[in-house]
Amino acid sequence: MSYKDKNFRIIGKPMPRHDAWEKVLGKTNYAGDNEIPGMLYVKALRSAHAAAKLVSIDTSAAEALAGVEIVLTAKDVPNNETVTKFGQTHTVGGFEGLYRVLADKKVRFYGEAVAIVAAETPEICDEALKLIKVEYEELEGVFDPAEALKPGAYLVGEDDTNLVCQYKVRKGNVEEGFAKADLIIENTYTVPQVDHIYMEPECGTAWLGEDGVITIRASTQVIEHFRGIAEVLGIAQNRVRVIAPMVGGGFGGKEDITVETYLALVVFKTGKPCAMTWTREESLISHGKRHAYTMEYKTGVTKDGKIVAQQVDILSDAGAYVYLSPWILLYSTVKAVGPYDSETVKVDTRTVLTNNTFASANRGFGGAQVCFAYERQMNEAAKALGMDPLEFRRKNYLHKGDALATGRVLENAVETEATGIKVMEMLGEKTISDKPNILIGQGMASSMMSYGRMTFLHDTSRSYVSIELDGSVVIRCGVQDIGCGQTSSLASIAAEVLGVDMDDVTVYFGDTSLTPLAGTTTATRMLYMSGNATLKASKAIRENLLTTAAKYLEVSIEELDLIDHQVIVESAPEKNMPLQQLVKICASDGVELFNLAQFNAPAREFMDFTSGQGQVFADFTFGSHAVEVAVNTDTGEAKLLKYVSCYDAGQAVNKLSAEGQIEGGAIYGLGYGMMEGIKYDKGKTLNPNLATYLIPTTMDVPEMQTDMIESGGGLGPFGAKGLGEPSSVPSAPAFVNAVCDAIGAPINDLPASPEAILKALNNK
Amino acid sequence: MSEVKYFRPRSYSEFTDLLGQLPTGFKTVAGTTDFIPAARRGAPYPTALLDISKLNEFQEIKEEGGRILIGAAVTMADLLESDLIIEKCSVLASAAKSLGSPLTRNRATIGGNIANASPSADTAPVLLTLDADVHLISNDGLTRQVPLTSFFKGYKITERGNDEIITGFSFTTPQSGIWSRFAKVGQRSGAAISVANMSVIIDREDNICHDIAVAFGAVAPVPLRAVSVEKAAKGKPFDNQFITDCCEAVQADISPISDIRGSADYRRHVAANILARALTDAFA
Repeated sequence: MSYKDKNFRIIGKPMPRHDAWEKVLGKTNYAGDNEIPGMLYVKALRSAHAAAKLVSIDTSAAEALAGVEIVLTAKDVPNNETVTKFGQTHTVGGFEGLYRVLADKKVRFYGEAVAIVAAETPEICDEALKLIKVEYEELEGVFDPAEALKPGAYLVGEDDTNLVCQYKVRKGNVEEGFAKADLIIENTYTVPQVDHIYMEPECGTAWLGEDGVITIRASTQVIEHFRGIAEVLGIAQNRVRVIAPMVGGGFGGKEDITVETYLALVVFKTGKPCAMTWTREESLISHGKRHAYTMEYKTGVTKDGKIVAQQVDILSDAGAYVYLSPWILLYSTVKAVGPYDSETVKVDTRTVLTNNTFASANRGFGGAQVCFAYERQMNEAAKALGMDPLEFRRKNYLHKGDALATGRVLENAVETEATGIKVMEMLGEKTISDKPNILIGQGMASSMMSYGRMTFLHDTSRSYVSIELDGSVVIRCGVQDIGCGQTSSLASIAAEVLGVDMDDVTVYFGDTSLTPLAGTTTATRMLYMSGNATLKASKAIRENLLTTAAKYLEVSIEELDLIDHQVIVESAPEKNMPLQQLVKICASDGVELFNLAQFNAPAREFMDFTSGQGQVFADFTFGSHAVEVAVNTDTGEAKLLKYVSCYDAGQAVNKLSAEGQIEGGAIYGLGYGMMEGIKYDKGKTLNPNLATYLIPTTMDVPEMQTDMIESGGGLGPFGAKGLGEPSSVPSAPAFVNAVCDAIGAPINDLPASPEAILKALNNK
Repeated sequence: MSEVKYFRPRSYSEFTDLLGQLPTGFKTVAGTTDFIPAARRGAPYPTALLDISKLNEFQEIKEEGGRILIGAAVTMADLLESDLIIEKCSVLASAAKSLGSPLTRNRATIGGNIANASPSADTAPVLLTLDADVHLISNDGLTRQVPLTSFFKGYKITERGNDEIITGFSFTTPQSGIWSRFAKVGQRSGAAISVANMSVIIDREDNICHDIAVAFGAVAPVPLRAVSVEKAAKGKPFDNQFITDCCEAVQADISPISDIRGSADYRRHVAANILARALTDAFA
């Protein structure tokens, strides 16, 4: 067993994660655990209106309060406004995202930060916040994206339209497609905004380093926001350092800046260390949510079950600021019809500003919304045809070599069909109800989710690997570890290639001043990108080690291997040498025992906006979920009896971690299906706490069964694909399809709460 | 940032000694599972906190003279693990088991659940159907007992005076052979707050409903006895008409509102459905 013969010792095995014990024992030092002597506490004053003109802010009384260090408003921020250019669309032209550190001119959403206070204690902060006098002139606002598009609608920002951007995809002539169809299935699907509900809310500390560098240690998925922070402060990028310790959950919600700029501003203005932690309420009302969509689907099928036409229209609520809405909409646009072939496709999508809390990245990045729609649509089509849902899907699944509606040919492994067959096998025969008020149903869903960033972003990652004189290994890589085993995977890769154990590897991560930049921990890209960079660096060191050993032992390099801290000579085991001895020889001979490698993802130019044709993603992960539910017809409560899922992981790096990702993803997505959703009254969040915004508990989830296909056909290290986002995408439609099967009525709006289920039953 | 005095008597004598010294505006706490979230939401702090959670006398569950006595500081975890309760009053154990999560159940007390008077309090309908009395003591040492059926006065308003402390509850031990059920409709299976809850105790023989007590929570400003249902059911034979009459009657008893957890319409539907199911199962 070794890396050389591809019969791995570590890769693909069920290994305890290297950070597991520390976390279980509560020893891990998260961003909020840091205390600095003399640090100030920072809190934000948040707008009580969703749409209002900011007439004046009087901070004098707050500033006069004993213990208050500083009060900051928009006028105190060197560059309060920055603009991200996203590109342009054919019809709208250029589109860009405005980022405002503190509200200025107009308040755009309920909970937007208007001022920040830094004081000696959190209690003094609270008192000071009450002393800030803000004069608002309430404005009418607009809260529904369809309303926001109408001529004369209230304008959320300073532009003359609320439309952020729109895309389209055209494949063939969809009208000709519908003409060929024997049946046409039309449905409108709606999904609400949802939150990430990481256990650790947004938090961090900051201080002025001895070198005068503003240093921020925060819970973030993106340490490279140091650039944006420097821009806000108007200082050089190399004067800001961001450290991301282990993160207590990200799910996309820590992809945008949260506490970092506030902390940096306080250090910049006062020179004093400070800390900021958002309450759950603040987190719920003021960080980006998953976009609410209205999705109109029209699908034409022939009697024998072939999809001949797919017409999709999506309206997305971007909320109050643009943030990542254009990219998220593009994800939805490309994935709108899922892993299925159709002779003709017409997709139109738009995202629009409203005065709801802004929407941005959330696990799936536009993939979860459309999966709910296309997978409900698959079930409704199968039902209309009188066909088994899996059989119908099997007639339409895309396979390797097929092209997406965007013209992109799927060159790598596409095992969707195999995962679909597998989950229905695992689910087994439908349980028979023994109670008059219990209906049993089964449902499945398949999905296609990209891993890695969009190809026109020309993504890169860097990793530094070195071997110490005692044979222990060090990795320095600027990954953010958000709890999915990002760093542990890198340890597995280096240990496998260098013939040591995972315990022999230390991973330094998440520090812009000390670890080579590896990009964001988003887009299911870390294993793919940093895994490949780490593999490349490890292979370079292995090459150096074996070249030296071959010379020293006078054998050919092909005969050598590195296993269990030894150099193995296959033809002459008596010549085997401890790794430590070889390392010392290399050191004295001046052979490089380190390597800094960069991995560049395949890059393409931007898609053609007139047709939506082009390559947007490098590759996809395919998988399926299947669910059995018992619906109580008295109450509408749906209890999960079985939950199974299967993915083509390409190659699992750590079997236990991969299974954990698949299970965790399923539960994350189940919340979307069963109970989650931000509720608003004219932009004001009505459920800003965990007593009213519900997520699944362990009591809501049955023992899960997971399976993996390992095709080896991914672009990641050893042929791995990504699982982080893909694992959560099909849960909601699988659950709702099972409920619909049980009650014999459709549900096309999320969440399928007990009340919604009972209503569907009563309306049957 | 005002100062809050904190008292935690360790014995009943320490408790009674303390009563006279409590400042006006004191608040009694035990598990604090309602108090802390309210404080976090910005509820004003009281002048003093009287913590009764460490008082042995208030943590007892016992049977005396055909009555079950439960101290105010008995937790949900205590109730659902008590052999006496499981054996003689399992309906209360199942309500306790449905409340919150294990963490909450380890702290939340029956006294607090009733004193807080949330319409959705899970132990309230059960104690209502048991015809429980609330035991009160005031800071001048006077005690009195109030039937729970006349304790809830309005939304979060009770018969308890500001200077009174709930010390416990008592009720006649249910006869063996009665049929009972606690039913709860929540938005999820774990750590759910009731959208509707119900306790039913039926004394039936063959096909006849001799006696019945039904109470609902979360479907009116207060937890309440379903008197119309009881009137419609008492002495009647079980048949389809019986179910129809009871389900019609329940609509007169309840007055639900729409809120963040569910609509009034949903509450009316499920109240009737869980009642019909209970009656059907009771006579099955």
